[in-house]
Amino acid sequence: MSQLLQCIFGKLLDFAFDVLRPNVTNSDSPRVPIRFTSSSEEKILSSITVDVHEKNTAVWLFGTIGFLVNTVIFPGSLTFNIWRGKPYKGQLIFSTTDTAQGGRETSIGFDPTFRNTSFTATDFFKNKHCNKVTYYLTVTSQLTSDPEDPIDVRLIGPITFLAGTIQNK
Amino acid sequence: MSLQFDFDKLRNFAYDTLKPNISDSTDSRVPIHLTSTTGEKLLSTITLPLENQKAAVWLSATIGFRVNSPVPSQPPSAMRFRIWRGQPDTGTLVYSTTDSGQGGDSFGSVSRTTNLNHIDIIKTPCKSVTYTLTVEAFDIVSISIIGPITFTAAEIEL
Amino acid sequence: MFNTFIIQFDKLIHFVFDKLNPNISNSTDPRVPIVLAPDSGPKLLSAIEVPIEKKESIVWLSATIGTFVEDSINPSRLIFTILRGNPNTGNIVFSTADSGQGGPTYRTSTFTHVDQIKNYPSSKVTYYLTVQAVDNSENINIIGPISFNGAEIKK
Repeated sequence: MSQLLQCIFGKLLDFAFDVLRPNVTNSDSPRVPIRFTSSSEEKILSSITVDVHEKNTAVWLFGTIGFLVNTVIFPGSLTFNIWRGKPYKGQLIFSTTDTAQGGRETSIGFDPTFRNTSFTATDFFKNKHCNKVTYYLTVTSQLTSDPEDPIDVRLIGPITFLAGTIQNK
Repeated sequence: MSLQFDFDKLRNFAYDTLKPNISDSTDSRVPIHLTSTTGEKLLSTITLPLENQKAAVWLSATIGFRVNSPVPSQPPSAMRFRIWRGQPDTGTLVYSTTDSGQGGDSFGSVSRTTNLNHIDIIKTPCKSVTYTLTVEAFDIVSISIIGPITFTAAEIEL
Repeated sequence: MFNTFIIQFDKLIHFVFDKLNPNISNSTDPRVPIVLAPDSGPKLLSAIEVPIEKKESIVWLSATIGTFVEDSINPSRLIFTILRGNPNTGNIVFSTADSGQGGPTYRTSTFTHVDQIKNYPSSKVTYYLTVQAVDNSENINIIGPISFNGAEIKK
């Protein structure tokens, strides 16, 4: 009797994602548009849950958001946060800010500036973890409104939020 | 008797990049010059082998472009990027995003980099799937795709 | 009797990453801010060492960098470069340019690349991520976040 034993272990253990349906600019998904007319509180855009069991597990995250600026004269921005656990109760593991300037108001409507923001982040679990972990993607606006210059910024899609758990030695 | 254990979720990976994959690349595929009348142009095509009939395909792309000419008194310019499963028009549109093509003036051009990410859930008896990446500019005077171009697809087991 | 046990499927072989702590805009990590003055050369943002297990492999690289432009009316650009082997003299495997215009303007740049490794003379490969500001008349600052990832994928 002869035995051949081959063990080659892969690394991508779990994978979770959330996308709009359809995941396109100006999507008709009921989740968009999300409209900002001034500085606003943090809004949750998406949440995903992965299994984390082993020690030395890395979580690789990616996000993409499409938005348009109908009109913002003064420099404005959007800040995107990734939380492990619920915002403020959990831990902020990533944040980035992108410009929300552009667009112009015309006599018949708006000529918008389209923008696409993407980012990649990682989270790391050194010790063994026994639960599922939920990540939240949020957005906050910093926009200075002025009675003379109206502001209108809209998240219109796409929205992609994904995470893969990877075991590291 | 044979035993098979699957531990890894990443089953297949396909990609395309310019050579060299840099800004202002000398790859013969670039520059691609766009005006408001150019229409949709093909940037990249990849074919991903499939192991399973049902899978999540993680698609990602990076495109570098340059806004050559100012648009002083016209609507802000834009670039729409699309990912098709199959060929443009005959295939299925799975993803699109739009980025600003604004900028540039008499002092010089404006460079931009766009990144895309999407998950396509597919169910097919075929052994492979093809994706195409395209770009279409509107309200512009002159924009060039100058590189880099990266387009990847990863089969993730559901 | 012949028994065959086959346990395999190992496409994602290694994953390495570098990030600021905290990895946020205006991070308090001592690595930032990195000030890019006019006519300054390339500055190193990050380095990752990817173990290479297979003779023929693919390394899927991805990065995100947050920048801030206080005041730059003239179109300027930020050139991000990934070098393999050495931060100054290594092979340039990737580069891209993003706008440095605005003021005050925040900007997030993200990009991916796939590097093909064949018969590499070492069991690990180091990638360096650099940035250079070009045609800027004022300073441009790297303020965070900085994410730099590498995944070795079996061909």
